[in-house]
Amino acid sequence: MRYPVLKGHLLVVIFVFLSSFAFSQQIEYIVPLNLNQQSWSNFVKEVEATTNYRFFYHSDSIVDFQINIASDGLSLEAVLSENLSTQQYYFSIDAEHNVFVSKNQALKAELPPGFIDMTQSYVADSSLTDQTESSKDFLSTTKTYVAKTLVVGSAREGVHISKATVSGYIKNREDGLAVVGATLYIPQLETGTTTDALGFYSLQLPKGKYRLVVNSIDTEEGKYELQVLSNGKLDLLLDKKVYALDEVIIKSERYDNVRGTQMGFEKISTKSIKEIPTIMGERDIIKVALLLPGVQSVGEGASGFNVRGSPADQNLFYINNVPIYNTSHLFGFFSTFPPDAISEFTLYKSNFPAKFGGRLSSIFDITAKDGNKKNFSARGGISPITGKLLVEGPIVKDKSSYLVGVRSTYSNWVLKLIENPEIKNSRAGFADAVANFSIALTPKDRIKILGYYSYDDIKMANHTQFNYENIGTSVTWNHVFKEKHNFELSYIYSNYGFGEENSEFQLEAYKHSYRLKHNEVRAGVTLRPNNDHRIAIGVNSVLYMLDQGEHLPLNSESLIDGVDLGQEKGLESSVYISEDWDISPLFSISAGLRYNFYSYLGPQDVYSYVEGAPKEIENITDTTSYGNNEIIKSYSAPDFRLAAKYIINPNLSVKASFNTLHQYIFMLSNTIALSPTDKWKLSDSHIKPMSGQQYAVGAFTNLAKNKLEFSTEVYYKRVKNLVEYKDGADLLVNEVPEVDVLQGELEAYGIEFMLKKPFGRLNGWVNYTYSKSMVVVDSDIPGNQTNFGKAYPANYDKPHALNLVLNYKFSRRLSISGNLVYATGRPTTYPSAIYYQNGMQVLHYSMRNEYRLPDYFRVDLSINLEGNLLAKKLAHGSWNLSVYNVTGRKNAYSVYFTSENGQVKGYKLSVFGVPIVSLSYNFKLGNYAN
Amino acid sequence: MRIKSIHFVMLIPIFLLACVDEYWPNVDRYEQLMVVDGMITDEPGPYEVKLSLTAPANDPSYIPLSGCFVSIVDDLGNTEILKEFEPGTYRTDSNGIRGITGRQYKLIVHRDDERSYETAFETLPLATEIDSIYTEIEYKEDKDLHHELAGLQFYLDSKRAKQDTNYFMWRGEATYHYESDYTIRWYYDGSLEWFHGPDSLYHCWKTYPLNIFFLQSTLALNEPIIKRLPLHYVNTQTRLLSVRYSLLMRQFSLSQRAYAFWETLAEMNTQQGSLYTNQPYQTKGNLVNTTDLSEVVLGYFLVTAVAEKRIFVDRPNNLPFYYPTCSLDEADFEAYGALHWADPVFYPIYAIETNGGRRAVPNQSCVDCRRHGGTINKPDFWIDPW
Repeated sequence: MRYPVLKGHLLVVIFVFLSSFAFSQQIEYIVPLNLNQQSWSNFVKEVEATTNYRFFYHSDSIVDFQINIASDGLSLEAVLSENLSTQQYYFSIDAEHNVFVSKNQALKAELPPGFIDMTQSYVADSSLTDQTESSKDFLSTTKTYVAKTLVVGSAREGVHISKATVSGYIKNREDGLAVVGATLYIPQLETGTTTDALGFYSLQLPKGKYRLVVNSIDTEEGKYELQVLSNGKLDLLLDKKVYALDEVIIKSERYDNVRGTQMGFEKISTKSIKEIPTIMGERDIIKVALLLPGVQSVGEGASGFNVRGSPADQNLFYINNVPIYNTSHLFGFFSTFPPDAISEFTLYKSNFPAKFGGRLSSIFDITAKDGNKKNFSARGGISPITGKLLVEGPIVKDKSSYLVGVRSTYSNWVLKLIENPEIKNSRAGFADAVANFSIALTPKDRIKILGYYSYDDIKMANHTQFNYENIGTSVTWNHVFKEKHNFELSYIYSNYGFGEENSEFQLEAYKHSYRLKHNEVRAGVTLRPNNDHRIAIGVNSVLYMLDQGEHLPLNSESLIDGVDLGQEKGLESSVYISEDWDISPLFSISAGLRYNFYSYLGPQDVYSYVEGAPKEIENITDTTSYGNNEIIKSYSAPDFRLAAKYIINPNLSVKASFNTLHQYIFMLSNTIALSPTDKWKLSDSHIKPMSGQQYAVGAFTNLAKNKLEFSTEVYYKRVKNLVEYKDGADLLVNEVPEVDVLQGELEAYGIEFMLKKPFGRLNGWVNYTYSKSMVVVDSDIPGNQTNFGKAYPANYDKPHALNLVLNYKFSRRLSISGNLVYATGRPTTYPSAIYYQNGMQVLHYSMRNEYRLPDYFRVDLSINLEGNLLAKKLAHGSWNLSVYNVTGRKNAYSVYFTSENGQVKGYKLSVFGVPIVSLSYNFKLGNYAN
Repeated sequence: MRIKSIHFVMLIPIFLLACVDEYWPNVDRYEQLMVVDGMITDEPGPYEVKLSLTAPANDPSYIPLSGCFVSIVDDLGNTEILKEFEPGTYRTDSNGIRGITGRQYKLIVHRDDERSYETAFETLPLATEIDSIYTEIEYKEDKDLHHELAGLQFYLDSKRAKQDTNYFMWRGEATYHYESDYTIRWYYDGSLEWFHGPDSLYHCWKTYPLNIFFLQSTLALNEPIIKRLPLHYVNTQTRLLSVRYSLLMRQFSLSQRAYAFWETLAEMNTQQGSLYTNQPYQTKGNLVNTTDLSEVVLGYFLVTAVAEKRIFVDRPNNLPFYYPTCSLDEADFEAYGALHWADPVFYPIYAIETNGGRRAVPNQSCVDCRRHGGTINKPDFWIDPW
């Protein structure tokens, strides 16, 4: 028996941190002579079969060779030392008869003091509740790879039961943080579970002996021999993955690909993207999301993204439950999420968990990092445009922690360098901050508090000034009861606003403001009656308060009349229930029902229009006034969430899902990309909520001994009541938006292929998507059509998209990464004819989006250099040199036409039409591995 | 209510790496559509209506539409038939119809037996006077030079309109006086002759249309009065301001519908390339096929009231000018010696004499101002400052 998964390199790093412990000499095992001239693998097999020695080595790094046993009576140590040294291998043997073999590095197989005692804690208690009350916050072993049997419960307790519940926490050994979303798997039973937001899991198993495999996105795999005697608690510590050692740029949870019920989802940790090339040295999770299948944007620098053919306002961004209503810095060039403070993000493109709702196309769920519960730590970095700093540490050691990360542009020197006086007089600054507190009240109760802030301050050429801010906070109380159930209660607040001052036209110089407030309460419980069932029930309620703003004269020279665009209020509430049911080890289904109640509330004056006529100011017949909190209009509708998975063989599964969703808030935007002054608006008595449904089917397979993951998904979706606009609508200063709004339908379908190599020196992924997204806005009323009622491709419809992301590690310190991006050019409207008015050339345009921009192609490269690998050092630094758009291809951002001196001219604008080189430096306290 | 949206193009150069290249896409489909361009005003006629067809966008040309039967009808039932005065241009009689404020007018076009077109009746609005047009010295970036140049920014104020809501459009025409760099002493047309009236090719006047129109409504304003409406900008890199400059602005009062048309036209023809613009879309005019409402007819027949104002501006003192001027070099003196070799098609050839008595034949555009496109005839409206 071998344990090839173990990685020798990793052991070194971990063991050097362990304090020294006397090597205990074992009773000598004499190697029999008949093993002479055996192959190494046979030798290992033989020794393991006849003794209690266990070998640990990386099967890739030890090439098979012949064992020489010179004489009889040699100890194992002597034989190994004789044979391995000639092969340049090192080994060590610990007190538990574990033999660690590695290449190049000697292992110190020493164990921490108290090791033996600690294993005793697995011998479980007789009364679960009592035990937890009295136990320390965390009891566990450091012995993760040791294949000693962990005993759960006691034989006495288990006499009368056949099944037992094993539950506990999985934590990170180094900082004591919960390992969220870790998967526990029992290969013999083909059953498993995952840990929740607190790292808690619960498994029901027949009494017996099992192998338990634990995996998670940012820890090493743990393997355990488990003997289940009765109910009991089993906490496990996993080692943090030390990426630079031997992998990994991206890792969705490994076995999820085939075994997980989820489809249409991507989970990526920020650590794993640190080598991806950047623009101006800013790592950006949204830019990484754009490299995933089914995610598009209308152009470089456009805000947000488009998931599976849907508009950008159909995505919901959460950071620890706080919805973020504007995710862009500098109008879209960077995202407002500081990567250092984020541990991972999950993008749901289909198969939405029932606890999520309110947007039709995706949920982008960001998890902020929890602070280190053991030690103070700090990290920071500097790029051409920003500086950042993050500190974290325990508030109460092992119990509570804090983390505060800030990022800010440090000057406008880039702008000052430019000759153009208009730019010289411009200013572009932004900042963001995340503060995350995790407080353990009792072992079962935890409070998490998140604070979020982002800010932009932009001035253009002395005449236009913008500022934006997002403020958000969430307080979440989590309670575990009966060891396996989980209750969560959250209060969530988010506030988004912008202000604009514009004096470009003195006559009409104005200032404008907008604000959205989101207040939400959410409660949910997750029940695990047994391994095969997982039930989630919850409620949530959001109170939206929108101030559509005021449009006021900026100064005394401005002649405009001030306009108050009014307030809006809406209440969106939902109840949901969902169940994940493993019908058999191979077949599982997940079903959810989410019922939404939405009310548009007063105070408000609502206009009535002539029936059958287009909604226009001239057609207003009546005005109804509603008092504060009076219900103006209510909508309610169920969302259905269904998913099924069938495992055809251990390396192949098929999954299918059907989802319906409703959306009650949308962006008033008729520009090609979301514009800086676009506003969120609530559905009201005239503008109906949007609804969507999506069908998806996929096949998931692991190839080449799990080294490669391949998946393909086909989807079809429809959106009803899609919000579109009349031609030429002005949405910034619009007292009656319903006059300019038209509602249509969107139809999108596509197929996505993804091949991923999550591990190894060379890792990365390649994906190809074929998709289509069409919009139609038709009506019997002539003015209520766009594009004459004919279907047209959505602005972000890019049928062919190919993304290649690769990372190659030359050594622990040096790696290179590259991206290759290809996509069909986005649809655009070109002039189909020219005519003359008053002697000037004038353009006549084609049907909407009849043509396409030239195709998009880009290659990025980056080199990462880590500082030295000394174990004892104060701080560790790393450099990243990125080149964005290496080929300097002038990708068309837009093609536009303008009349100059009576003549029409066409232009192509490229945003990043040259290679962009940036160098950034990051540091952290401690050494490379910390 | 609509307020012109901000020019977001400014955002792009923030990232200094953006670049703009001239580009014309391959557009394979071309629609040949009917176009109208004309107006009736409260000024005395004759009024002109032009009918034409659209041309392919990559091969622009004016394609007049001849042989139509065109008439203007008022709300009292009077009909004025327009005569085709040159291909595609139809004109009222100079003693014919005259637009009157408050009355309604429409255009009727019979293209052939099958196709007839009409506009809806539009009321001729009330005219509003221009109060003043004035200039201010401003410094603006020159696109090619990449540094700031001084120049004059023109502004316009209107008088208070008599009604609250007004839709204005301005079109303009400028005339400038400019001078040659040298006065002529001799001319050669086979033999060398003394040039009488050395100033006669020295002063020229050139008139050009502004090729841009300005729009503003008083809808969002607290008073129906236009102040400091920015017009065009003239820098010091040309001879436009070198002597004296005159600007004639015509202020058209429009209906809301006409204003919306021209506003859309402006928007569709001054795209900024930023993504924060709307999708371009088709702009139908006000002429409609009476039997096939779906036919797209472009252009607009305006029913409008006009006010106009002309101002004169002298060369601004204390401003540096950067327009190129002639300087004599040896080749010019040698050219004088080679006069008799010159091809007679170039006759007459003008020559100058320096203070030192040396004769030279400089580039003829340095001595004959007509070569810059102007005329030596002073326009009738021209008023000199002295």
